[in-house]
Amino acid sequence: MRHHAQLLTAFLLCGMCISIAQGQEFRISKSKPAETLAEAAAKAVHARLISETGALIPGGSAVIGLTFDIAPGWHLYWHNPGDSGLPISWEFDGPDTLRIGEALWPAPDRSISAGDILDYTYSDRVTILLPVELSSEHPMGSAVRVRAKLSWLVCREGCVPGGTEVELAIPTAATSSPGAESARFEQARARLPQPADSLARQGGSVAWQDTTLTVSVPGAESLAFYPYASDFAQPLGLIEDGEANGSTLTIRYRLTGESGSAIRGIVQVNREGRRWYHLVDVSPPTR
Amino acid sequence: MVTRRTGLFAGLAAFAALAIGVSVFTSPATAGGDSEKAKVGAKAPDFTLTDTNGQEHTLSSYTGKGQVVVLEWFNAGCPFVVRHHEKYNTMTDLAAKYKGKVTWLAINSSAEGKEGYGMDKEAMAKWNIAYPILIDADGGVGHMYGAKTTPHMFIIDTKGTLVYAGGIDNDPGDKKSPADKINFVAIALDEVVAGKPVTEAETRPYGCSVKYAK
Repeated sequence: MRHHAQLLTAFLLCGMCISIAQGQEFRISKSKPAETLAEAAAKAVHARLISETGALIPGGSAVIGLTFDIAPGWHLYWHNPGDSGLPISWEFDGPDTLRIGEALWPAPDRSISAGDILDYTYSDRVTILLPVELSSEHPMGSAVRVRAKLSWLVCREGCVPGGTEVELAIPTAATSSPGAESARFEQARARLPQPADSLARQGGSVAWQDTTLTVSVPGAESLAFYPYASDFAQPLGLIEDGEANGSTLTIRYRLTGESGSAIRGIVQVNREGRRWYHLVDVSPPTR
Repeated sequence: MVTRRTGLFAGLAAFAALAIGVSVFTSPATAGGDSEKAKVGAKAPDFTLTDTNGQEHTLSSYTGKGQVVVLEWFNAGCPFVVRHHEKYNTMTDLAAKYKGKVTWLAINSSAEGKEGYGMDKEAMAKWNIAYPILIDADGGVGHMYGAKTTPHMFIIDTKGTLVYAGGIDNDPGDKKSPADKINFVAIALDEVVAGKPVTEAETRPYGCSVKYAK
């Protein structure tokens, strides 16, 4: 009896004997092989196409979104990625009855790394909004099928290019109501730059002194500036000058070549725990 | 308890001050303001770095011998560098085309422990890189040139003047058709080697951030 019990115990303790016998791999060591950067990056971004409203109305306008959930430690890039990186990009496909407007990108974060490298990034979650108009000719009741082929560069210390295809079928109806993801749209809207006159409505102003742009917002506790990419206007020293306590930002610009088009950026105003984002859209300084 | 914490804080502060003081005196090139960085049109900062075979290379010894010099900031772990050495042979083709007239040097400013550090020998073998890769692990030369990305390209003429700084081409996303792709370095090298001024001397560099120590 005791002998059988000992055998049984030994066998139970030797669970690995069975699995080895079955030809399964049995790891004796406790540590797993380290995950490669590429493996971690493949899991770091979860992208979806979502609709702000539950349905689209033929003849009406609405907003859809490209939404990204980003794993901790990783980030994606704004349309101006900054010194390094690559913006999120996409190719969109939908019915002829759907017109897609210009994408609305939430304001990014400033990301500074060793060597004075300044990037404009998104972490945790971001939703890029796409205003849409559905032709009245789109048959009522027939769903609107949209697809996007997404590309991005996702980085931790190292970077990995990635992408995916996302799609969504949005019902059409005579009326609509908020969709399941309205919270994401609200969060994104809270970080959209408001149109160029909104800065003035907050009492702020923008002016050139030679090639230095001065942003002044009386009452602000602190300000930050996110420049749009430009072929001919390069802001300088943004690590020091792109963020300031108080009510003034001075951004030195270097202008090269033919400076015809407007110089744009986002001004972030912080006051009493609240934030506002204003679009700045100015002509180059006259010379 | 308060006394002990103060003492510890004072000790840490003293150590930090000492560390900062030491680094200011011993760092070969301070990451200073814009005025210390290389400027297109001005003399390119001279430097000496050691390559993966332990051989020293000094910039002025090449320009002094009538060579045009290309500097290619390099990190074998960066997908943009991989693209130009694996999907395309952008760098090695150009280096081979101008062999004899142009000395092509890759520089790796990745700090020890960061991406790209120690990956050079394997990269040279895998990608058939015939030119030296210089090790700049403390980032001194990278800071002197203001190298921000890998790749980040610089061209120095035979007089030692920096005549080009910027990207390898106009296509960060690798999306343009061959007809629309512009290789800025190829064009600039044509001009420099022909003794002509570089028409597009500064472009926007793109790539991964250089993995500096500080």
